[in-house]
Order: sequence, then C-alpha cells, then structure tokens
Amino acid sequence: MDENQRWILSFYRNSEITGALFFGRLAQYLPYDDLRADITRHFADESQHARYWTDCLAQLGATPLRLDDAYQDRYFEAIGIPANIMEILAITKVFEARVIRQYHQHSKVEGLEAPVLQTFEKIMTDEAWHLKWVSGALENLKPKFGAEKVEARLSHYRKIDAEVYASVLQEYDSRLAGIFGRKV
Amino acid sequence: MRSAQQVKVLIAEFVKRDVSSLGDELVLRDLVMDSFRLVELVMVLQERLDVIVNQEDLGHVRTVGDLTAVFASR
Repeated sequence: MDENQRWILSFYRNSEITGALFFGRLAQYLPYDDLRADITRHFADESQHARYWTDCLAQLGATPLRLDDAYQDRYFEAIGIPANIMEILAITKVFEARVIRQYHQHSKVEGLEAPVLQTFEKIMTDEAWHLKWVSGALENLKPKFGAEKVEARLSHYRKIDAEVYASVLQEYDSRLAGIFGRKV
Repeated sequence: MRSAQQVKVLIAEFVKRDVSSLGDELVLRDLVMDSFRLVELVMVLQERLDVIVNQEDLGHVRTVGDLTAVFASR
C-alpha cells in the first residue's frame, strides 16, 4: 500500500479515536440528561469508525500508523477550551461539517480501492446523523444562550476551522498531493 | 449574586477536597490536571449556579481565586 494512503487512512482513524474519547467523556460526565443518549450514540459511532478504518487498512494489507496529532487537537489549540455546552456543540457542528466535506472529497478520487469506498459509505450515513442531532441540539439551546450568540460562535469557529484546515493542507501538502493527484 | 465562598464550596465538592484547602492562589491546573475535567467543572458550576459563562470570560482564569471571582460576580 502507498505510504501516503496508509498515512491518511491512519489520520482518519486517529481523528475518529480522538472524537470517541472526547464524546465518551461527555457521555460519562456531562450534566445534561437530555443530551446524554445522543452523545452516547455519537461516541459509539466514532469508536466504530475507528474500527472501520482499522479493518479497511487490514483489508489493504496494512496496519495503522501511530500518530500523535489529531485534527481536533489543532482545533482546541486554535480555539481554546470551550466553556459551555453551546460552545462544545458549536465546535462539534463545525467539525462534523468539515469531516463530511473531507470524506466526500476523498471518496470522489478516481481509482480508490473497494474497501476505502465501502468505509466511506458506511461512515457517511453516521456523519450525516451527527450533523443533524448537533444542529437540532444547538437550535434547542438558542432560547437559553441567545440565537445571535449561537450564530456568532458558529461564525467564529468556522473562520478558525478554515485557518486550521489551510494549515493542515500546507503542512501535509506533499502527502495530500500524492493522494488526491494534485495540489489541494 | 453569590459569595466567593459559595462558589468555592461547589469547587471543593467537585474535586472532593476540603474547602479550606482551596486557597485563592492555588493554580487550577494543579487542582484539576485533566483539561476535560476543567471543562466539566466549569459546566457544573454553570448548572449549579444557573449562570452562563463563555470562553472570553475564562481567558484570564489561572487560579481558584480567578475562577471563583468569575462566578461570584454574576
């Protein structure tokens, strides 16, 4: 297997694990009973996705790379630690939208192996649900936090997301060019 | 508005320590080393005290006294 492909599939796996650990903590400790069921499902999905990518790598004859850096780490470095549930969900919404765009873009690359395509298909269904439940929960929080403040947070986080994504593209330019067949 | 002592009692409950051991100068990272636990503490304080704080409110917070002051002032 091409080393760049092994790296990006490992990168996806690592991000899913980081997401699972984060949502696992939320599912365990968050003081909001009405959100616990959806957060638990989200946690389980992210764990399952990590398994899917691990299985996908195995089907292609590779093992996952050990990576220290997850995409979410860049977020928290740039955004800071969220202070309330609205900020946590707003960051999650922006992040999930980014994941969907990235997976969609990657799934359109010509000549992808069947296990990779099948993994994208399985994961994308869950990702669409993640975006839906988080968006719904944010809507429900608007009366408490103020609709304008929620929108302002989302806008702020989207700006940071664009910067983080651009920096990741720049940092891994040669690897990504090898995967996507062009400069991205 | 609640007193700083009331806020400190809630912090003490959360970290399972005697409130008298929570001096204002105590650095939060030394009290709650896991950053996620720190997020959880802030959310629990918001729920128990029925207030909302955001990232900007916490930008300068470094010690127990800083955190107490944020919540006591609301």
